[in-house]
Amino acid sequence: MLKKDFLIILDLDHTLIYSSLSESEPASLLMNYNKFIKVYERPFAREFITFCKDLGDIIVYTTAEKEYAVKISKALEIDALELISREQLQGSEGNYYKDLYPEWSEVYNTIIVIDDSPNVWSEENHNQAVFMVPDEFMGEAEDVELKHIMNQIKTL
Amino acid sequence: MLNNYTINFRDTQFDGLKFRSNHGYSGEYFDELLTNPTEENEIKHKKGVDEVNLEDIHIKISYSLLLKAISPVFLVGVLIFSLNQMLIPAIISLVISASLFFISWRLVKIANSMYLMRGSTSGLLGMIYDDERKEQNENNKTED
Repeated sequence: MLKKDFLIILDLDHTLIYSSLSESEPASLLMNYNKFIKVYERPFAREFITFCKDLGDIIVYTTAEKEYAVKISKALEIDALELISREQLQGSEGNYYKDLYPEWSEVYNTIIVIDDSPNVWSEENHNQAVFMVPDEFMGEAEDVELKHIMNQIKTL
Repeated sequence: MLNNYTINFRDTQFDGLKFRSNHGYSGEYFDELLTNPTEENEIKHKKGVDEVNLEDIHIKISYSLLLKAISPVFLVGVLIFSLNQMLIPAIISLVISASLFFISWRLVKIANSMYLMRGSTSGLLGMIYDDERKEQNENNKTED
């Protein structure tokens, strides 16, 4: 079977977005999740997602709950091949961990993981995929991490 | 009479109809809890937010039921006006009846979506508290 080139695994919170209880944050507002929680979009998130879509398939992999992850993915127009959320993860409250699925390496030549928390992935996974770790996004307006990551990916 | 009425919505029961908010939680109360992000305050915050959300759902469902009850009254108006060959009042009544029915349906839809978001809201609050604790720990380390 001919392998596809790239699979990009995207985390949501602190990587592409930031959820906050504050009235406002410097970054652009993505949505009011409810009357308490506002979700802010990381600068260059849209460009980054378009870049990833052009590169290969995207899987959203998050420790957040499905209802929330679906809404965010829709708002950011991610069009993910799959969405893996808290309900599918192992672990318990506050201690979830992520794992690469073995079948992914059978289908794709390169797997790129973009996640601000590489420690939630097993050691073994770090040898199976290229990890790109942006600084934790906390609603800053001048953040350029996603731009750096796009440049890093281009060099692969 | 209205308070003896029980509303079943998904797996929750609401007592009576409710048209006004009286939960008693203020933004300042929640802000204060977050200023001191202990696990106890996190639980209080989650509980408070959930109560506010449930009350919002209760109010929306109550308005929806009210509008659903009023809508047929205008349909009777349509019938009466039509029998008396009063075309314009009949059309106006029909539009009002349809609008009330539509708003009622929208309110249930919004309430459903709010209900589904209850679980994830609690998860998000947990994450926000984790962030806040981390930030405070870092600040403490810097001060040391």
